[in-house]
Amino acid sequence: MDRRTFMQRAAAATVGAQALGVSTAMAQTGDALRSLPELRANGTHLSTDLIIEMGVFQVGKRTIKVPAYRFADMEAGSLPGPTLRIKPGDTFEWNLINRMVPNGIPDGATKEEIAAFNQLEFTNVHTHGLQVSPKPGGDNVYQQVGPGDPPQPYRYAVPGPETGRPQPAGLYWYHPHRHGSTTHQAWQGLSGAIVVEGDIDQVPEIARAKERVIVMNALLVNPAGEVPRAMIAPNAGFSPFTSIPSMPTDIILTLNGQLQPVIDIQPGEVQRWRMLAAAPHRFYWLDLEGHDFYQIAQDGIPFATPKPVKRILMAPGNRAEFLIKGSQPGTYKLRAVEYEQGHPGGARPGWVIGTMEVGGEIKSDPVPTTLVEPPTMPDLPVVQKRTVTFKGEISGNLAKGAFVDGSDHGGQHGTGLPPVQFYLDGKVFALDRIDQHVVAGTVEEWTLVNEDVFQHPFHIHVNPFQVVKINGQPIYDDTWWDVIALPSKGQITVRMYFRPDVDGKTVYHCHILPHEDNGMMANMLICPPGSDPYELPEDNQTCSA
Amino acid sequence: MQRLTRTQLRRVGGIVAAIALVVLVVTDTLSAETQYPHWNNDTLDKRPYIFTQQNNVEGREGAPPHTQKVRIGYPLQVQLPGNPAVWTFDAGVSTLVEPRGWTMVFSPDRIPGTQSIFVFDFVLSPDAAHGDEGVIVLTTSDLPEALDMVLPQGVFAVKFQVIDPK
Ligand SMILES: [Cu+2]
Repeated sequence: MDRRTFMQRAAAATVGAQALGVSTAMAQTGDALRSLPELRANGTHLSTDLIIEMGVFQVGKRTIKVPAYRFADMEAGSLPGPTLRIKPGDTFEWNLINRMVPNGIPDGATKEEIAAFNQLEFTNVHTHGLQVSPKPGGDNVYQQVGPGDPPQPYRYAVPGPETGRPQPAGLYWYHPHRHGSTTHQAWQGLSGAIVVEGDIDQVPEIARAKERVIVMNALLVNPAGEVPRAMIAPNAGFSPFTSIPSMPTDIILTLNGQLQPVIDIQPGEVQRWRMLAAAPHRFYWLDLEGHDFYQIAQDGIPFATPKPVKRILMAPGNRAEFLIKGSQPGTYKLRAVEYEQGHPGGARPGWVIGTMEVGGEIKSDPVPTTLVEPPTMPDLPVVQKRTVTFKGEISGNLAKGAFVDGSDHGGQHGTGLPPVQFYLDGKVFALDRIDQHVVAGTVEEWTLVNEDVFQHPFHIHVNPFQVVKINGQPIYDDTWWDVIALPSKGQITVRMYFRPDVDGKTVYHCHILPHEDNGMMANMLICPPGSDPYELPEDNQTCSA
Repeated sequence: MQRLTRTQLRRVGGIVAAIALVVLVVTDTLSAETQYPHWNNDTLDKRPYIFTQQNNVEGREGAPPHTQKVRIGYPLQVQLPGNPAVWTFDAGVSTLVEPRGWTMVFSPDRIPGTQSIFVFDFVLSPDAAHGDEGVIVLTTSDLPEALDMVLPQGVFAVKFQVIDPK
């Protein structure tokens, strides 16, 4: 960059900082874990704005400059975003307001190069795990909102008891889902928890337990504390991605925006932790020194009884809710254990992401023996069996267009060779191509075949699923998931019930977001009940009656 | 910095063949699963500029030349898929950098025909100053087919210009 450009950019940055509501939250290593701001529905309806504004955050020794979410009643943005609390049967709406400003621009980038990445400030919002309508005006991931665009309203009707299948009470979340910019915005920490309150909260041992909502983010930042605004390619080593052009990057794993916070608990005290894996790529194999997890829910859906486990694997997008019982006084490390998820260069390194300090008065809180009645799979015939194949390409050696509909993925420096390409059934994502037609009110089995060593986590919108087979072998487990990590070079068969009261076009995809952004997503049209499951049109946008 | 000529490439190839034998002996004594030291997560240490095969434009059809900006004081690192292919640093063609060691990291089944990633560390020459231009060149004589478009003729090159924002 010449001196004039540099000065111009420096001046622009200063003006930007003054013009934006800059929020600062201190977070030093070893601070007590903070609670995130919350908004709870008053009665059965909630209305707010979901505003994205640039913020400045202290994370350990670093100053991070990222866009952050706030609700209308908050003065400053929060990293990660504030928590929304709702109940089955509630309706809520928010206006998405995008005030993002580009940063993380490579040194020496030309005007044209800067403009080529303008899509990274386009956004929308997805309510992950809520069984709500995906149609326009609802949980519509096809919407996009550019910086300065008019507020975009989203309205959601959370299924109540009257539907026969209420939204299970548990932890869900919201995050940007605009194809092509989801990863960038996840690395900026744009994510927030949605807590659905309900029956499991009334279990006496849980009702009296201290509750913690813990959002795990991975921030990929350059030395300026900004997320690289450039193409991204995977690499070996500590920080898993580099940019094109290259800039030094670091990856910071935070809990509620804090580096290695301390969580207090008394000996014998039972606490309820709700953990969200909001990082776009990193798997968390959670381990708490000297303590078991008494898991009570997976992906928001409660268990009938607590399951004691030593470790919990959380792929990107997963939620795990569990009880922790404080043992002997002392300090215990909370770790993301070294885990081989298939990334180039081998296992992601182990990290200490926080510590738990047991101290104070001794308590003898009981762990409950029974919880609630989980939802059951309807006793219906499996009307369709489908296979979806996952395959990725990370050499950078395959030309643009080598896969179906690959044309929107350009190559760097005009070479026509995209850094990576990921596809489902041999195709990269195309907005207007319906890849599967399914019928609301029916049960299907999908076999998800992973041809890669990368452990692609499968996610589907609206309806959760159960795992019925791994590598063709039956599995008897009634856990519900909305994200499941596929085995390397293996397959998982899931059974899904498409709830009868939700139809419309939506997506399924890999929840490693750099894979999704680079093609590993497809469209599914949920046809209204009564559509003919055997006479579905192949190439158009409708369902047959 | 101009594109490498065919003669230069051939010369480099010869050096690679000679060095490869030596390197293979050294490699034998390395563990296949090199462990990364755990970095301090709360630090302002300077992380490297990392370049992979995707950063390469050398020899690519239709690719306009690209010069990477490198801020003074930061280390550099090149990562290239190999094994059995062996990548070596071309000290004769490279300028303004000094090698600071290399290793191989086990990375099977990610890219066809490669079992590992070669990781080369560099620093800028001590006399590098704002505005200076340099290049890092690595070559292999045994390029896997799966990299023939992204690293034509088994040459990786990244041209850079040193900047000092102060
Ligand atoms: Cu994936």
